[in-house]
Amino acid sequence: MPIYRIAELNVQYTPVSSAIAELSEPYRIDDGAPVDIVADVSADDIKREYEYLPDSTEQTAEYTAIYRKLCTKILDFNGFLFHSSTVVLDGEAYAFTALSGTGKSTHTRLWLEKFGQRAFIINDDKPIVRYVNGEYRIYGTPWSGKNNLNKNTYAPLKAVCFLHRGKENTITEKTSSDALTPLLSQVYRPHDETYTLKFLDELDRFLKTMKFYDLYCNISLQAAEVAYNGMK
Amino acid sequence: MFVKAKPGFVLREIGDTYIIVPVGAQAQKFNGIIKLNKTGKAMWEAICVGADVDELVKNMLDEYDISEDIARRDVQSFVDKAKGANLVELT
Repeated sequence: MPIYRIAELNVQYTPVSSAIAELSEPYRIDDGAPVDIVADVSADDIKREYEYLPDSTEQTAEYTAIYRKLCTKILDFNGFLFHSSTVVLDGEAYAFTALSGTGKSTHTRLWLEKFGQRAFIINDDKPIVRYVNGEYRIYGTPWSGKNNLNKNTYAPLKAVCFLHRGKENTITEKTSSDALTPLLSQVYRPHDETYTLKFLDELDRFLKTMKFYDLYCNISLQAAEVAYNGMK
Repeated sequence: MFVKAKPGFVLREIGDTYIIVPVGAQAQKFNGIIKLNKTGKAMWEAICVGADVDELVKNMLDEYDISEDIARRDVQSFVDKAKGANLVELT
């Protein structure tokens, strides 16, 4: 059975779709490695995805089902899924989150343009965040949205930025109580009671530890500069 | 009027905010959360074991220096909201 090294954990799943196998290939390790998380999905797990999104193709249903399982069980390892486009600059990660279509990816592309070789996208849409050795780390994973942009590595997470469209570029720090509601709609919350409780503990620590910002921005290199200067 | 919380909700303090989160089957029906202040939290805890509206009003009066009218109005407003969000059963 294939085993993948994802978020510093050995994860076992067997992709049915060749596209998922292909996306996962850069993360594959020796089949005999000890397994931390089993994220294999059943036909029922895949069927359930059609209830959430009836228009899913077989491939997206399987893709989502595996990640749902992984991002539930990873709570056993202080991890959770955080919907964001995350850029790494000089070794530190900045996660931009917003509802789909706001322009997360557009903004992180501006960082690449502005900072060149100093910056890269670690995960363009669905990184995993884990609390490891007293710090938050954010990870490239095979799941990274429609652009499939991810790098098999991790970086310490420096700040979380809620992105909003604006005419001018401004950034302000956000209190953890103000961050709670928008954050909740951008992290994956499992339904199961035991995992919900673990999730809430993790969320509590994240809110108390992480720095949060609101960025209002247009599409310009100055937007990347303002964002970086506000959070560095 | 007796107010009792439906099963399938957990109350947690996150940061400096109290929230009610649905779990299990409730989470399938409703994916949101409900934020509470300190008064709301105390009322929810009473409702979890089941409480009469008069009892909730009395709790408010014990805790805060307010008139009975205001306490009753606040309790009723909380119960209405909780009912609206399908968190409680009234009998």
